[in-house]
Amino acid sequence: MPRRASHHWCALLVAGAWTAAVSFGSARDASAQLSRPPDAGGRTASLGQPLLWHWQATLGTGLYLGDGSGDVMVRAVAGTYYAPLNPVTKLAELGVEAYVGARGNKADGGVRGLLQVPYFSAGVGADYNVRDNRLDMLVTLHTPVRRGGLLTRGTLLRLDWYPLAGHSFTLGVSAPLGDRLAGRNRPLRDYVVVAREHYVPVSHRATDPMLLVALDSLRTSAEWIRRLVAPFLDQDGRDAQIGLARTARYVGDLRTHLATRSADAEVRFFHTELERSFSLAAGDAPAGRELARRCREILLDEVLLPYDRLLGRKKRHDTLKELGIAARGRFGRWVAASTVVPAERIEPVLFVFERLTDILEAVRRRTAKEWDDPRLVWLPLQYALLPEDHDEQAELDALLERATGVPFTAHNRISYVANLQFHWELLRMLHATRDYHVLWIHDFPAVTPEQKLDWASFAQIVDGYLAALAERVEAYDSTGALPSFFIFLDQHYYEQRKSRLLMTVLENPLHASPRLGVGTAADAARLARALERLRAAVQNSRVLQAEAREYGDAWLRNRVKVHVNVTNRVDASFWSGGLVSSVFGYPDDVMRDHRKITFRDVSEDDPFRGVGMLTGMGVGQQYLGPGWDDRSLMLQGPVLLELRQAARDLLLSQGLTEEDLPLPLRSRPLVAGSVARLAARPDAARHQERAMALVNGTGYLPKPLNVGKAVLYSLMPPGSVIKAPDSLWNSSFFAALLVGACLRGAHVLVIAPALANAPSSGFPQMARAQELLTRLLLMRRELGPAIAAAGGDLRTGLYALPPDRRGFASRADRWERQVSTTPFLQALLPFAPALAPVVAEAARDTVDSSGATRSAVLVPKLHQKVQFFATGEFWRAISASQEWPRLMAAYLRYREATYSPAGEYVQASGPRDSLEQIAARLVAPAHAAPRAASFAIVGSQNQDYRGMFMDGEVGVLFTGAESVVPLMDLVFMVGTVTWVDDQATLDRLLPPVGELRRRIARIAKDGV
Amino acid sequence: MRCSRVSLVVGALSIAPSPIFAQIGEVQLGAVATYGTSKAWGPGAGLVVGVATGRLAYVGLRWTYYAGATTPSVTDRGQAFTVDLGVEIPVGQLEMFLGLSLGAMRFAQSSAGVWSHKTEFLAAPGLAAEAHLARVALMPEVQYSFAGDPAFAQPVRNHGLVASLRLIIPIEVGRIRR
Repeated sequence: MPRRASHHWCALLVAGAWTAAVSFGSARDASAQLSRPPDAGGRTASLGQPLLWHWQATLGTGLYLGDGSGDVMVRAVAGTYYAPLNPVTKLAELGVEAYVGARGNKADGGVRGLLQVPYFSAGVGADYNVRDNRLDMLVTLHTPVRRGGLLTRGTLLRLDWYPLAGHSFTLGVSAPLGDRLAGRNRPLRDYVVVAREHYVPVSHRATDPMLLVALDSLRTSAEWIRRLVAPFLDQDGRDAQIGLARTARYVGDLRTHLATRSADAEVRFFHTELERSFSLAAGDAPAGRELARRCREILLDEVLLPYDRLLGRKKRHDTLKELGIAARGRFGRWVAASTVVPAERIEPVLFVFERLTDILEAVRRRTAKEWDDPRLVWLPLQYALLPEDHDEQAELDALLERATGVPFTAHNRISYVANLQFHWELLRMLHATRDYHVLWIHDFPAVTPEQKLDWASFAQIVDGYLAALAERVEAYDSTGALPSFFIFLDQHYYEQRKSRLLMTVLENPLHASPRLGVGTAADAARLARALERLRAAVQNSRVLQAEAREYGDAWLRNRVKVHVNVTNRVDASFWSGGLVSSVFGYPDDVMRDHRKITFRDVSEDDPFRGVGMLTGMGVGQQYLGPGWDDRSLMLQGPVLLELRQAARDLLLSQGLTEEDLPLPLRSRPLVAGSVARLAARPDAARHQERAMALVNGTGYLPKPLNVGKAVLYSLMPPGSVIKAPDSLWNSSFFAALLVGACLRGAHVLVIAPALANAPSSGFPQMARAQELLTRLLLMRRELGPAIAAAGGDLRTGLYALPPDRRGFASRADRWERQVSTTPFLQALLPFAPALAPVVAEAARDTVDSSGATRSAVLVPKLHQKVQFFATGEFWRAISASQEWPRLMAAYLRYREATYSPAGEYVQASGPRDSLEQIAARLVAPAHAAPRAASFAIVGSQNQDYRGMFMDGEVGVLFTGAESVVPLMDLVFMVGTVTWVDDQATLDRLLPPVGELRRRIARIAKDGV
Repeated sequence: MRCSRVSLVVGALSIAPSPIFAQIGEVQLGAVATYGTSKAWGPGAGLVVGVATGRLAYVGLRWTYYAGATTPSVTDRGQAFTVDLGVEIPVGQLEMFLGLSLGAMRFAQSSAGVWSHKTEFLAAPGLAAEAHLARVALMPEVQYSFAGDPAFAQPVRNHGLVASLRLIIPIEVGRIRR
């Protein structure tokens, strides 16, 4: 065999062996099992913290062209890499590598230093070759080629190129070392397949010209319904004015159409035409009605709901063909089996159904083109629903369940609390934990932006986790139970806020140093005392020591720790949208987990035992006090099981296997009779809320929260009241659905922060908000008569509160002045005059001077993601209640109690309880109203595309008396925000940006 | 016949109403008239096609034929084939382009009736302004071209100022999302 050929064979053999080794290594990692319970010597698995230094091995082969020899090179490379900046940004990575191998028939070796830009999958470096005693420039490029890895999980194709050495190169495969999660923490598919391969049946035929005319009318009506349910308002142009002019033109068309037929009438017209079409096809009006009824049911089940369930997800083979054929099959089967249609009329009847599915496909296609994004296609459910099909609580509940695929759970206890309480409730929850506790949060900072120790986080470590662990260990000999504590923390803020400092202590409290590197000596001493107490408790526990003797020290360290799980880790093997993999693509690393949940002890054995909290904030001092206007939900009952399921799904999505799952989070069937346990509880009467947890997975996972919101926005009946404040009101899609709601007669209040009151005030977000609110003003101006004719209203408000110079009294004073001078508020809130004296009294209250001083410099930041929905009947029923002044008084007491400028602890459960009791009385008249329905959503999702498409989000949707408590909050808020009636006010409080920034903002949105 | 078809297409594109879909960028098709101060360049004309993604970043192709200069004994000609890269910055009613053309310059020289050809690397940083007039846009541009030395028998200055005017038809395009 020639020498050159033998080298090639050697290279292939080595590469093959490398591939096999990589595969074997990964398979062994994936099969790790930890199934014994901790009290039997098992260990609890966790993701842990990301490695500071990443190790990687590469095997490659190539040609050395430096001396014109063309020798084959085979190189095995090992190296380690460190990101000096936040690795999630993928901006810089330093690496050192060493390699050995052969060049030609001689041994070869060297070392390298590299500077890489992971975002570009590229780097440059210096390569010192020992054999040549020569330093060369090296350019390195890598790409996974396919999501998850080239050969096995986490492996990359790597090209090393020496431009100054005759363009020598090696091409190889690199694999991460010691990182069992690499290539496993994101879904392999970044899309959902809408239409798989399917049989295409022969089309049905009909020749009746009357029928064709009716179907043409149906098609036209379907197009108008599409525009009226979600009018497109995100037109762009060379500049803002051109974009706005195009919106005006679009709105003008809507206005012209609405002058002849309202939104509600259009839906009825559509269904009339549908019945007419079927009647013509069947030759009989009663048969036509029955066919239309059955057609609507099947369309809803087989086409509309399955497709709409994909809202916010990337789609592949995006067509309704397969869904339509499934629906056609079901409809055809029913028609053939029933006696509604004579045999000779079946063909035209099936033709009508087929044409209807074609019309829906045309609607889908047009929507995708108009919105320029298939993720934003929402097929109006009005194609299958008459207005009377979605105007009652039970109907809306059922539609929500069917659309999201998530069931409502009954017997929940839900309490709506102000943000300040999250800090204290979390502390309490940690101490009350007996089985397990989960904190699922996106921010747990060790340091403030000024690089000082964050006192609120530190308190959670010392007074919360370490103290609770110590208490449980001290009691271990008598209880025999030691709870497991879990933290799920997204890597982005974990890096940015240096959370590693705190997490390292929690991960290894038996050996961690109390010296954090930040904070004062007193802080270190406080931490040392907490650690000493825990270690002493472990030392003094006879049972624990006896177990440690049998199971080892590693078991003890695993038993007495907080199981830290840093999620959504930087991973080079997940890219999307590129020409090929990472080439001009965007990494999954930009997608974050924005969920904020904590819960403890809930289980299938007793769903009422635990307690949980859902919040819009993180742990940390910046979230405390009046400067951060946020809310949380306290939860008890079966809805917590859904959140626990979500926690389980999170761990699985991050690379753990079913066998790895911690025991407390494993799935078990609901124990029979567990709901009956409620009757024995003293607070059984308080478990009255129906709730569903809607959890958007991070990245390309399902997004039921989007669907839940879209169902409510698009189906709330005429006369409804919808209040939607948000700190990032950027989503034109959600806004469009709300405009559609107004056109059907809903009163919609959209509230966004002014520039000074925005917690996230970067120009891209603010530019998008400004543009969106400008469009809403245009809609209100141009469509106002049509909206008013339908009985609706569209209002946009800006949360533009100045610092509270007199504490909470400042806000009460603002409410009193504003409501009395705002006619639309007086019309919307007929009970407002009765509230004025109560609020006036609160406005006269004074605060202590230190508190006033502190709050006087804090500009309140709107962060509430609380939305309220009520049907007109519900609103009218509660508006007439005499309980409003009492409710407002209780609410103001609660707000004052939780309005602590210093963030100190206050006992606020008393006012909160009375708030709930009064709310229950206030809602009582609505129970008798036939079409009274209400919902509230509290969660983490912003009204922006990032929240819709990319980030992990959670929202709890609930009904019942407690849904009125957020309403009280919103009633107070609407009296304090600035209602925008003109462009000048909007521009003053939320100034427009220059054209360059506007374009950057738009492209940033499109890049999402 | 072919010419009239092209004219029809261009005409249709230029009068077509702007779509009201979400737009993100602009495809630009057009012709360029140019004049280079160096004698290898001289007066010229060519074609441009490009896309301004988000109306922020421009990537395009340009071909220009330069008539060069003719003396009794020597005739110089040139053709430039470039990739145009630019950043688009709106300034009032104008769009400014700060750009760089990278490509090749094919020099041709006829001396004593014998033609010589040489292709050299070309880089031309420049500044352009775009002014919209109804459905078309005019883009005056100034570049400084640097090319490799073709090393002809009669020396040719291989760098110099180039002024040009583009007449383009901007066509709004949507996002290309897969």
